[in-house]
Amino acid sequence: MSNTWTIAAARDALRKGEITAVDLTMSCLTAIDAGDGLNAFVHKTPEIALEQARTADARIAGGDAPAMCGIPLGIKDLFCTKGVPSQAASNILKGFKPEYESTVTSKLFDAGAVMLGKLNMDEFAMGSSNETSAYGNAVNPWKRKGSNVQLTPGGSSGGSAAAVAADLCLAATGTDTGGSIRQPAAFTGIVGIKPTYGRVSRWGVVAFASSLDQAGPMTKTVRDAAIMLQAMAGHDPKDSTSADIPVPDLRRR
Amino acid sequence: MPAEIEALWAKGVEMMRDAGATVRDISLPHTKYALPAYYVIAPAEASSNLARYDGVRYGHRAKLTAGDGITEMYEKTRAEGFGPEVQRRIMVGTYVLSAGFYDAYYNRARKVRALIKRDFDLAFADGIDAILTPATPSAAFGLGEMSDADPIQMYLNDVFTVTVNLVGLPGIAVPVGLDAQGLPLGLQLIGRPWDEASLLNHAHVLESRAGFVAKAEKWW
Amino acid sequence: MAIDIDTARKVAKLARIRVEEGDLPALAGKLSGILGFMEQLNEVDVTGVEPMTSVTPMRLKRRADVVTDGDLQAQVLKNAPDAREGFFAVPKVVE
Repeated sequence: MSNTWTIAAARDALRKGEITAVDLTMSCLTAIDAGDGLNAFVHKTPEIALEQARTADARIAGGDAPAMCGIPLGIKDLFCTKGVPSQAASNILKGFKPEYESTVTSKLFDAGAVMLGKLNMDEFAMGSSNETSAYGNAVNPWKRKGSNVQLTPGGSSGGSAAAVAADLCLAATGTDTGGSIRQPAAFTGIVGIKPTYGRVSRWGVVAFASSLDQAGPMTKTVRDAAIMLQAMAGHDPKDSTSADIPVPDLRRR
Repeated sequence: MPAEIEALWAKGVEMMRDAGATVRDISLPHTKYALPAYYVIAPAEASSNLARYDGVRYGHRAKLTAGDGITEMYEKTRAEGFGPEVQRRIMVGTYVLSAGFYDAYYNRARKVRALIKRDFDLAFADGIDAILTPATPSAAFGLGEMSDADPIQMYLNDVFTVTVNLVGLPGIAVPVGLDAQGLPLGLQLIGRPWDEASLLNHAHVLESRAGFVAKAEKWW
Repeated sequence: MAIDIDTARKVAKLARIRVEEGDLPALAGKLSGILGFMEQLNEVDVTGVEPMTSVTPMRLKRRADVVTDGDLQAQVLKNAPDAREGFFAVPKVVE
């Protein structure tokens, strides 16, 4: 049941040795398989996840544990992930497996985070309901009282929102060009932040509208958003619009 | 604005006031043009960014018939590979950037964008720390419910959020309550540029006051 | 401004997206609706306003003009639908 935890709770339990990253990851992988009806995860990467979790456990045992170390995440399909399908929910990128890793996922992995798989979204992030996806829409875990009607998780980061709200992962990456993090977060009862333009590198994120696109975390709590954004943010020489401004400590409160 | 969203917003104002915030009503007169400006600028940039999907370097390439040249390859590949909404936005973007319309649409939208930015600059210069708005104009709607509506109806979902992208500011959605049908509703806080730290602190206050702990009942 | 069928055909051509002749009227209707929505922008007085190019006034960073990578031919071609002898292959371009 550790898939229901917040990042902050998991981080503390991992550091105290109360749980391993492998156990935490297994808990999420089980939830993901049971959550196929939500159509949130469109490419599952359990082998990568367990490999990263084992590495994270070794780091934690060695006393080298950044806040995101061992935290299982879902990654929006808009992020290029090396050797893993990254098709922006479009048929035009069917079969595309990047030969490189986006800066955001690189930073998260360097911090020890675990990738559970790729998440559904509107095609090229163009939509507000996840219904333009080439994978078919993700489904909102919430339903109206006494109704069986399936609802949209919002868009474009609808798979991310559904996955976090349904506890398939502890948190997820999203991107926001016109509300694609914040609207699905609101539709599913979770937290989503779009950082200042230039705070997070766009390198390796499939471009929609370059003067508007920003990536950000989608989490269960504000505290988790602070922890995860800290790991995602920062200047990147590979994105000339990423700001060379120091990232303050976001986790202080 | 729907009464339920209006009430949630008022509740959020009370929570922040209760936590010690000084609440001021502000006017951002050009933000009512944010949506049309966005739907010029975003498709314009998209039409340029998505030009790379041509069936040459990666992804899908359409099956060609005898006599098809490179133009047919591009046109068939893009017709097969892109869904209807993406095609529509590429074409809108192509149109607003085309000779004769560039100034009327694209440049005008960028000028309006500058005016929207000025509204926010003035508000912050006037001592505002953060701006509280609804996150969405409604709770989650049914899948397929909007399929017959014209694209503009779907675009209206972004009415409270697109402005923030146009001006590059940080914005956060925080769950604050449930609507009458038991669905989550959120509010948005918009912060000063580069000050995500303060924005997160304000959001933490809102989150604590709202005490939203509801979870979706498992059916999947 | 209403988009007629000829304009829709021209836009599709410029966008390099094949649209069947029978689908042009519906496309013209949708595009007209969207562009009609943008007409609101004409209400705004933009006299003397410079078009916004960047959300934060910053000078783009420069880097030394040196080669930073290379020898990536295999990776570059890896995802190509048709690659031959170290090149991308496309239908005949010049008659």
